[in-house]
Amino acid sequence: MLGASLLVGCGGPEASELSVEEQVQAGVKALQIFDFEQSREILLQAQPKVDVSDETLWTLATYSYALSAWHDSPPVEENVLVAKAALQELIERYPQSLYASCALIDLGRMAEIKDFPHDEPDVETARDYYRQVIQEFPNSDMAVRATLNLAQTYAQELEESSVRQAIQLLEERLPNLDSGWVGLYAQYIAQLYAFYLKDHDAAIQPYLKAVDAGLPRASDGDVSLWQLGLLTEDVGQAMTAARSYAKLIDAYPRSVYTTVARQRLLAIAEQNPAAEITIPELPETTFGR
Amino acid sequence: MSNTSRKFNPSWIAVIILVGAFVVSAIRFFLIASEGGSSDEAGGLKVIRVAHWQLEPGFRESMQWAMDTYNALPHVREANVRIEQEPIPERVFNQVMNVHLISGTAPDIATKGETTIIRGNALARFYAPIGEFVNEPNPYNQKAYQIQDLSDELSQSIASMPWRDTFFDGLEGGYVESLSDFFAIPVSTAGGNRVFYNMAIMEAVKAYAYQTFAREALPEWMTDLDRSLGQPDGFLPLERAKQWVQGPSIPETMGEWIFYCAAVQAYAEAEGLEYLVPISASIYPHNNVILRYESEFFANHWKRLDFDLGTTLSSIEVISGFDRKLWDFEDSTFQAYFDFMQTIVSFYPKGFLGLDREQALRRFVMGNAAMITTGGWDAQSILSGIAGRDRPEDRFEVELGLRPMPAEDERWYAQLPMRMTEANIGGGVPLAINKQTPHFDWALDFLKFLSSHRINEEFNQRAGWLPVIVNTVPPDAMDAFVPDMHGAPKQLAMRFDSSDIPSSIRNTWASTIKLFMSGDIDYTGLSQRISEVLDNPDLGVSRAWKISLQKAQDASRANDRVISVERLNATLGVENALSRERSLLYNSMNSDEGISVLRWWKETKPSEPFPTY
Repeated sequence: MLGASLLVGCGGPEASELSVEEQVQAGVKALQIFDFEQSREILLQAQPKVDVSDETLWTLATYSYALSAWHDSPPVEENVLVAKAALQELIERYPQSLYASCALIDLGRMAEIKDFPHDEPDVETARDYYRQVIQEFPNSDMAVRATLNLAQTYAQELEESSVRQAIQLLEERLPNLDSGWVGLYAQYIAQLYAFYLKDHDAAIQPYLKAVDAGLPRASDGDVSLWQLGLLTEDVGQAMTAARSYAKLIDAYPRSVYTTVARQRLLAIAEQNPAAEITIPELPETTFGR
Repeated sequence: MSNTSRKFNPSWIAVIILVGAFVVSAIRFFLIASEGGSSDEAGGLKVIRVAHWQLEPGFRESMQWAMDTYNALPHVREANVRIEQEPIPERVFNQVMNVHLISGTAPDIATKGETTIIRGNALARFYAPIGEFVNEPNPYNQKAYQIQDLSDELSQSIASMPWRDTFFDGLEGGYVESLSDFFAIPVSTAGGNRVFYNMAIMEAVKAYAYQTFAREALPEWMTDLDRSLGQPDGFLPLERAKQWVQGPSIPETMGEWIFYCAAVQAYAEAEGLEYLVPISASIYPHNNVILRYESEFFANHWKRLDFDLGTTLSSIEVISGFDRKLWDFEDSTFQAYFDFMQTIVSFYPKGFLGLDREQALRRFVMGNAAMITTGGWDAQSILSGIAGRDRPEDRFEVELGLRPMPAEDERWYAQLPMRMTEANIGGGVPLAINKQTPHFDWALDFLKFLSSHRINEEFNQRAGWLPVIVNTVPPDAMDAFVPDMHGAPKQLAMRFDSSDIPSSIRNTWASTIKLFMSGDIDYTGLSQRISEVLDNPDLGVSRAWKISLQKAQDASRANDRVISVERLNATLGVENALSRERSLLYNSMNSDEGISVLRWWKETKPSEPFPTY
């Protein structure tokens, strides 16, 4: 008994010692470190105590509670239903809030994927949610995200016509995007052309646009530049390939691809002597003084 | 009855001890947990514990020197802080950390291992992200803490450089891709795998080979090695071997290396040295040099196997290549690799698969092997072992070299055009800060101290390891382990040991290779055993597809969770959360629900449904 009570007493400050706002913040904090179980437990107690008229705190608490219930592991039907109900309530009470637009995307995602055994994906319902975000929040970042999700549902059909539909959705929005999103949209379009449609030629322009705008996965930028080099060589654009390889060596001096990129550069330079391509030296590890 | 009830039952002793131990343990648990795992002693002393598994000679002593130096700093003494180390054997490190991380009693700083409970995003539950601190200069790199004789340029550069840029790998060794943040500070570098040569044996064997070359008729072991138009299965032109024997260098090409191994065997036989072998191998993978060449032999198929040009070869791209008729055991690459294996294994001690790492090191140190391959972490053990031998005449010089690659006129040149790059070798011994430590600032401060230019150089000089900080001077013996940045990426090589490959295939590959190396089966037997498993509908390629899809879908769920959290972070205005979310979204676009695996299946078998269990 003594041992048990000692163990029970190790849980840190009692929830009752904290204000409702502090409890919500604790739940959000647990969520931010991916401790979905603890977050759900805290917010299960805290969310009902939040004054519904306090839009800022209530939407944050409700949305965070829904996320923690949805993502708590292992995923079970009961939790997913709790999450859906919380998101629906949020949309009904504060339909114009930022979290409502997030909730619509999440509801779309829940419909689209199989969250637990016997969960049946419903792509059409998912698309309806994504379209709702695009229509109701047309100029927001959430619409940009929803367009990606919507396009992805078409690409995943793996049929040529649906992949083209996905590309069309993305290309229509591309000119109106903030620069941060351009790289992501353009590189995804390039991937759809290159590997879903096997059209390497069509992939080059969006790929170059992505490189110019900033690749979405900067830490993997060397892999993208290596891939772009190979694709451009494949369609006979040797000079573009050479620029891509040179950029790889310059921007990612510690990349594992530098030697093979330099090899390709040497081969292109040999085939195109008139181009006078400069071959960069490879960096060395910087020990010693 | 009454007598029986009054009689003391000895079984109660065990119960009393058990209950007592539980109560003591619970009280201790409560006390330590309430301090967040850190033990504060009387008088307000803050003790910060550092757990690691580096038990190699010199490392602990060196770590203690760094801790003592830090503990003696005036501001550390004033704050009543003391750093202590807790070395834990590697075999139990993960279990110990699992228990203590969950119970909240883990040390303040620990090597970030690979325990299951911290895999993926779960890492963030137990260890603190430190990304917000790495872009500022390290205060312990300021002039007052620097080495005295640094040039002005270097001194200013080190003092002003962001902390992360002071690491030779840009702190990649502490970066966690899935969480897009830094979670650890590496303090040493293991370096690449190298060949250690016993130079006393080399001198004797070269002299023996030189005399042998002078004979009128060359012995068979020599003529068999000759590579010429009439003997294409030879290893190198003998004339070059003769030149090499007359020079002072270690083998620089594979032909010279194999010539040397054969010469050691001939010398041992001629001199009656029954225990002398060319290569001291063991079951420890770093001692088995054959396995080091596997990626290099299998690095030339990527363009055919890769569904998405230029990306890392996935296990299903490799395994399905068998089904797609892109490789089999008739392939010249496979034949060459196993031919190479058969050649090299003949230079290993008999029964090497029954020897362990310690036995292999001891054989080399005792002068019973001409060479051994291993990583920099064993260098100190080997060199101090040799220097510590009782009789001066038993001690010998060691020279270190890269694994040799074939020259253009040597065997296997076509299959081994380039070695694998070591550019992916990052900082090692990654120390992470326990999220529950009440002394986060001091833990971070100690890691800054340990990774400062002067301290990291001295720490690694004493430990006999490579440092992690730029412009530091490694110990002389470790120069050879500096990563070689040139070469092909392993990402493009076929791998059969990946954990993504079904265990049925992976285990068959590994066990069959052992049987082949021990001479229990020949190449035909090897080919049949592995092909049978690959063709088996329950265990082979079909299973690999199913497992690949399952793993991709699981990864997709994990990715979704992080996207949700980063989107929330972006909504709350957390710095860089939006760019992290975009990075994850791009991942999702290309791999969501295993879409790439399904697409590749459709490309391979357009009219067949995806296999199911």
